Amino acid sequence: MVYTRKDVSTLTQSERRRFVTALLEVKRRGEYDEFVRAHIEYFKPDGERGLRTAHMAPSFLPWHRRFLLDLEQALRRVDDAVTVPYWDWTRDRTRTAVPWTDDLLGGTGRSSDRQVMTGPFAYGNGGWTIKVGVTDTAFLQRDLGRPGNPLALPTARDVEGALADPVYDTAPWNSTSTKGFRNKLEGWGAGRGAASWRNHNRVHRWIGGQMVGAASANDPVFWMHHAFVDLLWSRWQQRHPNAGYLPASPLAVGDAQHGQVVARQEKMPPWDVTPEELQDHSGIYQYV
Amino acid sequence: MNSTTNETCSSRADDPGTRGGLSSVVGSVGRRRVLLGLLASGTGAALAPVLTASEPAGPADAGFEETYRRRRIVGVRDRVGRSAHEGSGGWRVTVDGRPLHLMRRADGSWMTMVDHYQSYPTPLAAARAAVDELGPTERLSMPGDSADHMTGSGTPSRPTGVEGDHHSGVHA
Repeated sequence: MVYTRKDVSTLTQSERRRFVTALLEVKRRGEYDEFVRAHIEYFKPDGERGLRTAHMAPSFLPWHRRFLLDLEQALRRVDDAVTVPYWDWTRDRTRTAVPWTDDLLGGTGRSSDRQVMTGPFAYGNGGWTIKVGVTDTAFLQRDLGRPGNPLALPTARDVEGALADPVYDTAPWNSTSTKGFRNKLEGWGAGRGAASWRNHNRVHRWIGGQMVGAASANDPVFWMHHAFVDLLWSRWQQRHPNAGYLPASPLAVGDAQHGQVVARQEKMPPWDVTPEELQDHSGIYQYV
Repeated sequence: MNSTTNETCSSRADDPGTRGGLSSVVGSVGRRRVLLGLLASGTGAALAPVLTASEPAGPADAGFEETYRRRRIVGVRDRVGRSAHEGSGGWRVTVDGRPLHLMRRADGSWMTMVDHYQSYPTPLAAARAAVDELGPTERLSMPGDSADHMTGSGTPSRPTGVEGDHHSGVHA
């Protein structure tokens, strides 16, 4: 049966509680940390050879769509009424808005060490110890808005800039692609510093803490953020109904990206699934 | 140097197994998980004698060694048997003696595991940015530096780290 993913700002008190409870249980079961590991493993930059599927590649969107589905399945094994809500960061833009409330994800970290001290995922509550990470820190960290050197979340206009592009992705199919919806949304912009952080990437930076590193999935906001990214992909598809995932066919042997990116009908590791098979989620879930 | 720091690799035959429907991600990762103890403990000190002093913003090919925000950053161009496609970008960088894994972007810039959604023009700039991200008492993970992750003998008690040297320095 098709289920619904909701805007996190519209969840009822009960829906919030059940979502949080399911996350904590998936963590307690040891399943959650496997997602963190997988995200680290599949973060392969485009300056290295070999197949890239999760980032800096056309399959950024289907890869994370499937990744979210797996997490959502884990949540629904705990409580089949739970789905992953999305955080529309073009609307809920402050450090105290949802999802940063005590009944959802808790707030920003304290200034001394960026440790999140509020909400269900605060270390002191005992249910959210960081076990897989790139540093030795055991507690969740955030630095919302990076007050020491402030930056803003992407705006609706920034998102529109990506949605308006009628082409899914373009050569060279990596972080240097200057055209195409995928990289405009993934957000590897030209230049250095804040100006180069667009959309998806910029949100990771705005949140700070673990969300800045390879172990970003340690912060449960990862899923709400990527649910919104996933929703934006759906919106792009609706706006450009005749456009599909690119590259449509495997790149030629002479192409610099041959063997490094997944074409529409090629398998997308670690799953036995193709981008084409993930293009339409309407039989599994819908966004409201 | 490389023979001692580069080959401390142990792979795991066992798999944490799959749990319920998480099969695809967990199974695939677990089967191929390898711990590579790149830059084992003490490497920073061991490498120091071979470093040539360098300017903070020295030539791209030179090594570097500096104290930045009370952290000791050491970078050595790795010329022996390693190249960019192996995942280190041809550099060995440590912060306070702990390995900081560098990665290369297609535009030639550098990024690290700590700061993964942006990149920097030089390995040193990437290392400084990683230090910027570390809290005052926070340290990079050493492969197997936690009791939760390693047995006392130094043998992984369960899969630690992830596939290949690409992710050395991950605590798991």
